[in-house]
Amino acid sequence: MKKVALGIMLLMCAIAATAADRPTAPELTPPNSGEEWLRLSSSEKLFWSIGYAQGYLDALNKIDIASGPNSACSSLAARTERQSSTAGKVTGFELVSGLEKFYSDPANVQIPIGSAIRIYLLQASGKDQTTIQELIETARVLGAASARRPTK
Amino acid sequence: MGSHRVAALALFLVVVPSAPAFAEEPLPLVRPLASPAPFVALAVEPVRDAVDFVPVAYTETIATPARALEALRTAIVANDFAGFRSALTQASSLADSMPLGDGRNALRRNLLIYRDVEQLWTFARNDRFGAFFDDESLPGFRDHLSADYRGIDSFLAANRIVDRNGLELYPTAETRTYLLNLVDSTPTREKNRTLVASAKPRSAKSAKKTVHRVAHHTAPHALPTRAVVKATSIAAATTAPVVIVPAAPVAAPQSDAFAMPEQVAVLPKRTTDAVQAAPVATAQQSSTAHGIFFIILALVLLGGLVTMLRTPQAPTVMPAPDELKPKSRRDDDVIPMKKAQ
Repeated sequence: MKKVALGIMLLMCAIAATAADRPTAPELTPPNSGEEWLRLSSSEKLFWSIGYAQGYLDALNKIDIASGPNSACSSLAARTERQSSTAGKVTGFELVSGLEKFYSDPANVQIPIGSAIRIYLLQASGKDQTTIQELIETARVLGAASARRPTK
Repeated sequence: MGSHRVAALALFLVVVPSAPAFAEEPLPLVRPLASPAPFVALAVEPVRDAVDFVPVAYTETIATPARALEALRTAIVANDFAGFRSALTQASSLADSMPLGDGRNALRRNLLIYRDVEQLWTFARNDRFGAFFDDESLPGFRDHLSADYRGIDSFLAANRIVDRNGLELYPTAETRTYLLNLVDSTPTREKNRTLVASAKPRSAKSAKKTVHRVAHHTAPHALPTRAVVKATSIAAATTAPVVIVPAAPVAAPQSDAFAMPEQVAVLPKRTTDAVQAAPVATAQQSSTAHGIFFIILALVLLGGLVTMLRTPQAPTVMPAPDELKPKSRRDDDVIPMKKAQ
């Protein structure tokens, strides 16, 4: 009986030691909205912004290659998507600062981060304030609707 | 012995099923990158005339230090910059009109910190790169923080970003949260000091115990981080206002009214800072702590089980009275028998 109890205890100690040695899997998720953006540290925001700009530019270049020079997809990418790309327009520091100001308004925290970036780029390019405000109002409505929608 | 076996079986049934709970950790949450979140369509953009936005100032009159600190904190939680500046102006006037004493000193110390917060906040609002500051964007501010807040150097060093040119930049949001944590902790320390001072004079040992107990029961709660603040309502934040317990009136006014708070700076860095600086490292520390806890728990259980299951030794039979005789006597008894043989 003593040997059985000792064996059980040794087994438990081995399990506990294994659990202690196992490294914790890091959990970092890209932000989708202002709520998730504000949970990041400034360093994480900066690195995410740089990666976002790089990834966006890569995607646009792939559209150009895959769809052909004069296709509808290519013209759409050139007309709208390239305008909202941050690459070559704002630095990572500037994008982080702009999003910080944008999401500092508690009413904006539900706005998707892609919409926030587009609005910030329009602001930085000198768009009139009324248009910006109207876009923000629209984005708030869409963001609230998106937040109410159950996630898949 | 039968009860020992039943107890061992019960312990086995309780402990062993719980082992897989800490042996296996769930896999990290994976989120699909293709988010169904809608985007704003920029194709239709009506052109209207610009409208000026009128900032709302803090209109309520501030009459007490506790109310001043509460107003400042409420304005920060609501992200009301105009209200914050208005409240700061009123609080400064209130501090100037207060009589000399600990209450006035505590308020002035807090206001000095709030003025640094205001400077950071103004920079973050107005500068194009306001999320980070350096010596060029805020000249002298880094040195000012180093000189006035003991311990902030390590915090800034842990959170700095160095660009390819070797330029050191410091995050505005984290620095602001750090300063706000210092503000929040000061009234509690004043309160502790007041409680200890009002107690009867006793021996040094018992006084030390009292200080420890008071500090334990009134440990300052960490100010929620900015992200958490955004997620909560203003009403929730104002349910637990900071209340300053004014210190007992002192005979002579202290002259350190304008000195930066050494007591505040001595405080260890809050855990919120560590979480913001390196969340992954904090998670690893937590995992290690859990592992150590489980090892200790297993060792304690092992000791208890071994103690419980230890087989009792055979009962000691008391020797008969005649066996307690000294050996020499028994030898003496034998000798005559041999002699008889």
